[in-house]
Amino acid sequence: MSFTLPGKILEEHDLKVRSVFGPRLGLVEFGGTCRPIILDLVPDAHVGNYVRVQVGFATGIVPEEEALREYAVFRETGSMKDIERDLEAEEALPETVRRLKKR
Amino acid sequence: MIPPQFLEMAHAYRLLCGLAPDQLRKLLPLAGERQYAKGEIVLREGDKSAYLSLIVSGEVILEKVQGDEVTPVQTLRAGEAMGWSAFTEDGHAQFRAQALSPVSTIVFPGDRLREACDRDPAMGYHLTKHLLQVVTERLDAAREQAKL
Repeated sequence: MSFTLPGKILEEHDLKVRSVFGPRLGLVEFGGTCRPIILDLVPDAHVGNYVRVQVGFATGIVPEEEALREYAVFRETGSMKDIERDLEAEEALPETVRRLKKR
Repeated sequence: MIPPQFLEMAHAYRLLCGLAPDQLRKLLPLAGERQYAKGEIVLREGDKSAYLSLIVSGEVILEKVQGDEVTPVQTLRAGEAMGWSAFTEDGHAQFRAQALSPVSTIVFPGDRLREACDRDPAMGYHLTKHLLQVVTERLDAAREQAKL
């Protein structure tokens, strides 16, 4: 089982140490909350792009319209605050996204 | 200036260091996230290890429990793996694992991880090498503890 959320890349950093792959990390925003995310699987993604994120890794670029549509659903269903609270508390995505997927 | 939390994150994911991007793409769909509260028991000694966990943040203490006697063996931190026995078909936890602080982990179900490694032996070899290091560290920690 895996859970994903789209997020917007706000910053990119090349750590210049081979501790992961590149490693290239980005600060990614999820509806107002930011987390560091590994960007090495999405070499074409840069600041301003939306990426789908799974357990700390960006796994693909998401069209902006698609990402905004997902967030609109989160807001309509009242789930956005849950997501932000969970992210801020490092309670992570699973519970929140599981609830959303069941609806 | 690179934010310090970025360096911490790169360190926390070192178990996956060296995997090719296509191998990671096979592993990530198997992964989930799991959090533990301070004081929560992550694994009980003798329990079947269902998940291989990678600690992203927080600290976990491994303890040997014999009756009422509890002996600390090793403290695990971000970047370290626990539940290595999930990688074996009939693995059971060798120690009790308890969260010393709020702990965030990435978890891989052992059975699905084995299946993925069967399909990609190079990935399996990479993970096996890393997990052998983990087992060696546990043995060393247990040996040191036995000397005390």
